[in-house]
Amino acid sequence: MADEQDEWLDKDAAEKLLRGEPVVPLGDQARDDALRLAEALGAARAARRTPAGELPGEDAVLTAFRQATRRPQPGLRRPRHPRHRGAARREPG
Amino acid sequence: MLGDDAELTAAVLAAQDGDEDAFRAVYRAVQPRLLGYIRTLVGEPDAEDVASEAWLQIARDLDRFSGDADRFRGWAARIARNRSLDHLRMRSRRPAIGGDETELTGRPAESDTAGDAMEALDTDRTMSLIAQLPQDQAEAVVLRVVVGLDAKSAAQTLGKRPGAVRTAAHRGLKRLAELLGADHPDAPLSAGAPTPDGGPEGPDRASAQGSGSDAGQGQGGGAGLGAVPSQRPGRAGPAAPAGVTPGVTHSRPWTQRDM
Repeated sequence: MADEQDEWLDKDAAEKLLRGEPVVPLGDQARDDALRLAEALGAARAARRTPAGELPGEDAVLTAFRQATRRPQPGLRRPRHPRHRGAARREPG
Repeated sequence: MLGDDAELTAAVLAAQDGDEDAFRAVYRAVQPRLLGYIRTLVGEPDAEDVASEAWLQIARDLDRFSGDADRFRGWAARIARNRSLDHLRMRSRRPAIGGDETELTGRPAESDTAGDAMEALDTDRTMSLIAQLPQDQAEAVVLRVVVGLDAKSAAQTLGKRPGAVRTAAHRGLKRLAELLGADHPDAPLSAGAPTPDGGPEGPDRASAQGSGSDAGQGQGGGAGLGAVPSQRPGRAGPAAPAGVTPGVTHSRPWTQRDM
């Protein structure tokens, strides 16, 4: 029963939902389920949005940014400059 | 705020040139997404701390990054993931603290207006359902939907093949659809109200439950829940690192000092 109910949710439909695109399958039940899932994902997507004003932790992060910009670690010559982009790509540790 | 990817790309470049305001803008644009991802991995009480650690590394390593907005989000998410896994590893070595459960129940609403609060509730509810998914599925869904990565970037973040991440996300959505059917808050209200299926506007959320889906959904959800025994329900879900990476979180022996 459950298998039949989510037949509409194939890989293509899943990919569309993940992208926030509408999915309108045939059949009332399938359409309702698709709408409910899309609404839930839309609510999750709302977590992306930036609230107005300063975010918690901003001061500490900016302090770290300033330190990284002004005082590069001794021995590691990597001044912030765009021409260095791509020069030393490394996977983040 | 940074409305689109081009602005974020430009802000990252400016930040790499030392522009503090640009870095602030990058932080404000990306931090909510990273936090959503980190919450899925480590749970609520520790998520902000882990996010701070991730951002300290982002600030430090920024000039090693190269790429556009999507790549930047993927790069940042990978750092967030590594810091989260470090955190889970450390936490598993600490003795368990009594009363941990109370910490895990929900987070305070930070919104001002009623509308924001309602939306935040919906967001929290969905995130807590996603947190009940097997971890690989939860991560795949959150990286796509909340962090906003495409399939390829999500795969790079996870160190997996895009096909594997697509499959995990697909399974995650199927499971989420089941959970939504079982967790439908409007069900009792509409149970006795048969709804015409062919209504001009289609059934709304409440009447969807009345249109003959109750029995099937309930059974499906119940069976599904039984089939996933290791996940704790609700907000506690993400804090139970049931399967973040097998090598890390299934290694019970690590909870005893192994050296």
